[in-house]
Amino acid sequence: MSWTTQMSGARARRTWRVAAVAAVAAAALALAACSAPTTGGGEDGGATDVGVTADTIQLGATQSLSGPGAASCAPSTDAAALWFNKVNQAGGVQDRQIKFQVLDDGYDPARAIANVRTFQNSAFALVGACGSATAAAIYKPLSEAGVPFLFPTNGVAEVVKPASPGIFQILPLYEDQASTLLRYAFEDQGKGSVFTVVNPLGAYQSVIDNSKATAEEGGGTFINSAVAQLGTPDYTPIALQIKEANPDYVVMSLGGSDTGKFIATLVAQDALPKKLILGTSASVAGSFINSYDTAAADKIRLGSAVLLPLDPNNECGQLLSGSTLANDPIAIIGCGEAQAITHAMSQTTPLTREGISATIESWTEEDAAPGVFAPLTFSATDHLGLASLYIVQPKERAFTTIAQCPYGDEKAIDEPCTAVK
Amino acid sequence: MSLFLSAAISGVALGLLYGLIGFAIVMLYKSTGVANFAQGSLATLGAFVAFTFVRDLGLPLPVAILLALVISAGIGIVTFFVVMRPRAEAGNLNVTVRTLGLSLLLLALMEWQWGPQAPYRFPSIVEGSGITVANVVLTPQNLLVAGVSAAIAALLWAFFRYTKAGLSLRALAEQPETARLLGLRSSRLGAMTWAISCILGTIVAVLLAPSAFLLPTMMDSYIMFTFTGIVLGGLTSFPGAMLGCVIVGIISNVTIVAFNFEMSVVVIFVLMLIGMLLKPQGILGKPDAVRL
Repeated sequence: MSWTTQMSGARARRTWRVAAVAAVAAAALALAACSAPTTGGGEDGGATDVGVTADTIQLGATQSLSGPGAASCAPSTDAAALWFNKVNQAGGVQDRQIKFQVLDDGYDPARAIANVRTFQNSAFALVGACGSATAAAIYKPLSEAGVPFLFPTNGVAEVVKPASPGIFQILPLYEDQASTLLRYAFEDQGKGSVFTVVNPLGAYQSVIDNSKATAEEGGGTFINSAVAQLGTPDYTPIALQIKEANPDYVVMSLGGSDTGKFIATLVAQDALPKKLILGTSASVAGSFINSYDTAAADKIRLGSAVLLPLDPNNECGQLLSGSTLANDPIAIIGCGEAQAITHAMSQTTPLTREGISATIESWTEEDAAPGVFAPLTFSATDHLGLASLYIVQPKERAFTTIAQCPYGDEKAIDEPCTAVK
Repeated sequence: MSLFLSAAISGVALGLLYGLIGFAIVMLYKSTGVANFAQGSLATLGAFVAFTFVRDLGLPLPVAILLALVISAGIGIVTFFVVMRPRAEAGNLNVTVRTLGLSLLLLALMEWQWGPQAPYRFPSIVEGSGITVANVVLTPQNLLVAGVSAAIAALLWAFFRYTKAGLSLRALAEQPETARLLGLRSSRLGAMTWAISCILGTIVAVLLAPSAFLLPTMMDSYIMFTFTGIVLGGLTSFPGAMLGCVIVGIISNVTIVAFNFEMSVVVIFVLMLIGMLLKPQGILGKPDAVRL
């Protein structure tokens, strides 16, 4: 047999072998596809979607459990876990028990994205992440993968504006909170000069821009701004800048612990503004109220998504009472968000990812977390649920609500704030 | 111009704090050749011990601090015998990485024990209104840090220069084998070094905690700048460490008011790189010499 004939034969045998292997592989793939859990339709014993079986619903969270944001953020998922346990003890949602898994991201966007990959094909939805930087990093991959991302604590506009499929938020954006706070302050104490201080909690420049625009629209002046990293060891340089500028108002968007340090430095350096210190809801945390210098209490006004103090007879109030989370606004928010999530899940039949999005979008003045949040309104084009911001003031080691202000582009300009007694 | 002057003065106060943290690191390095990355965690642990005595046992602050210093010394000794001494011949890099692991372990333990309700308001050691210099208020805490820094610097300088133990530690760091052959008890000296280092760390932490608020990661943001300062000033020199840290403090605060925080980090680390290129041993450090 010639060499070419031998080669042809060998080539033919190799070709048949390759074809046989390919056929077996194709068959194996087809078999695997047929045995994979189906989505939708309520088939396969109650498994209606990813993360949903006949008797369980898997929820996930990527959360700042370590690092500089942990003190402010961890209580929200702790409280959410308590709420889910309570619901489970009462029989669960649609006879399904909620399994809630929290992974630490250390307020690192890269780690948050890695956590999302872990949850993507196992969790029904991601819930209540805390931190604008991490929320801004993960919302797009979640939306593109069709995974609902329910009620993160986020101040970055791009996460919810424009509305992305499956991404819903309750808390007002920091940039809009800054505007609302300044309008309230100008109504209450008169117009004046403004100095803004921010931690880079997401897109912080918009907070500075909104402070400037609102101050000037209200007849005041914008002096300057400063940015300090979360966990900054020394706020003295910024306090010295404020002292020299001598503003009427200081607007801050700082994490809870940093707010406490910043205010203590203002007091130590005799640099308090002439009128008020205004802070976004990022400051309304147990990590602030437990550590701030009470000498400045009369000058502090903060924006809050929840009415404080929480009524102890409220479901979340009863759940958190007696624990270290009882007076922590972040924990209250976490409980309220979990309450809204179980409310949405109970209204969604069959329980699918698309279904829960449709449920939430249908809410108009929905009392999803009574006594915690004001009634929530969403739509297909508006995925931000709250239309008002509470103004709270620290009194010793607790917050007290003193006003409620409309929030949002058009309402905020026309309607005044109302006092809350 | 007055704003920059105020910032510079506040930078000196901040630098003194960095320098105080740096003393413990330099002392350990001079004695053992190890850069201790667990310094911050060990110090914070000492502060938590003091805080627990005050809050849970109702002890007066001075008593709580003294007890915490004693316990810190014990923690240092245990750390030496359990973490550092075994397989010490593995080399300085191996031992240095162990300190990193120790730091992470201590952080996790503190988070578990105290993390949920952090941060805590640590009671002030000194009260009062402070003094104003060039429009910046030097708080009683700033002044206390300055005084303690000066005292500790003098004590450590004298210890390493004039005492038998100090000279023995220097010998052990420079020529460990020779030192052992000459009869120096390396284990005892090593344990003593770690005990003193932990005591120094706790002193810093209780000075810092009233303004920084006590939480497991309290020292993290200080350690980065401290290492920069002591590398700049000289890892083997106490005066150098203090000088380097004060330089870092001044440049940091002046740059923040002139530009912003991000620029201050850039400037400081550029300065460190330039310093390491031009004078690798630091401003006041001594170059390594080997007899051929």
